[in-house]
Amino acid sequence: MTQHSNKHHPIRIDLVALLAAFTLFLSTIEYLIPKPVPFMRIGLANLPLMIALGILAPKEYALLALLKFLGQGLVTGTIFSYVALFSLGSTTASACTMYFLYRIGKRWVGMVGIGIAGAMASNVVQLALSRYILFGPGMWLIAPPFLTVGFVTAVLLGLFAQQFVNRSVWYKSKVAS
Amino acid sequence: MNVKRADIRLVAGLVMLPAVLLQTSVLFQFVQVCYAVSLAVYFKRRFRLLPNVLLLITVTLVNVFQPNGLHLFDIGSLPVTAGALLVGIRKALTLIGLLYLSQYMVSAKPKFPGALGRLLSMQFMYVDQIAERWASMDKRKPIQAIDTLLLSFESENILMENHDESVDTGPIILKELRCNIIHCALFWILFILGSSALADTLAVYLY
Repeated sequence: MTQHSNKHHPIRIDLVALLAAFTLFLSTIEYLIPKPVPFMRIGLANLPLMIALGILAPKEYALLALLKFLGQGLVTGTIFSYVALFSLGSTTASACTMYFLYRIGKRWVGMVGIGIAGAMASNVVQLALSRYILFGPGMWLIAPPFLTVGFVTAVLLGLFAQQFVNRSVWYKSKVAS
Repeated sequence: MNVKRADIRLVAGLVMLPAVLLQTSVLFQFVQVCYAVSLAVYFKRRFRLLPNVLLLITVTLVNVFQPNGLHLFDIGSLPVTAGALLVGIRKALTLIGLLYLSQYMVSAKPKFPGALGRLLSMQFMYVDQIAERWASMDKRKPIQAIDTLLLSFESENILMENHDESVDTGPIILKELRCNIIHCALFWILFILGSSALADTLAVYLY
């Protein structure tokens, strides 16, 4: 199923929906993993967003980010709560940061660097929202452990994404097409 | 009548949201939160006590660092004030209340209209397929497993099935409508009570 966004760039609906489903699947897996502290997130659902950097066109990538947000919001039931605001803010920030960094600096920055940039952008937006919605100025007390956990998980996820990009047959076939 | 249960719950939730958001009394907000949790749980959404308690404690503790109002006691050199505690508890209760209200709003599985709605349906169909195929895969080599999984969807078209075949009948809609009017009314009654002198009297009595 392919829809034409304009005469030159058809949106690959199948591929976007598959990757969006993959984000949802990974976020379900992450939900099942017990976490020692409430603010700890592995960010597994960002893996398809990282893989998609070399495959999707800007409109397709934006659609993927939107589907990630909507899908997660609907499945967890948080779409009409503050949590959705955090999710939308962090997804938009990380998707934009990763996409622009990939487009501008892919010669110099690998998946680890892109992952760290995306995670930091996401975390900073979440901290800023927490500052105004939940915690007030005291929020900066949570910032150091929050950013540290985000950094470590981003490095691990970036290493995994880099390995996948290097070794995946599926990825190579998509890049070639 | 082309109204669905999902639409009624969605609209009812939107009507109830401001009653929680604008609530000024912690006590009546707590009752609203319990009500929202009960609604979500009744419609088979999951409730876990520990994450909510942790959220309540974390938000309250962080807010304690901004002294405000009556000085209660000190933790080391940190003054704990009644105003800061109340602000923290209110923020946490609002967050939890909206969370479960949101769960109630999507409990009847609302559908997005148009192309985006079809795309979301397709996403959920792929999720089912991924979960099914992933279960039978060797996960000891995760990169290979994900690659095999994604390759398995190549040259395959996921058929867009229409999962929205069920039609809500008149009596079901009326019952849903009646129930939701009652829920909305109760949420707003709690809001009015929270803004009235009764809340102040109860607060003095409790504190």
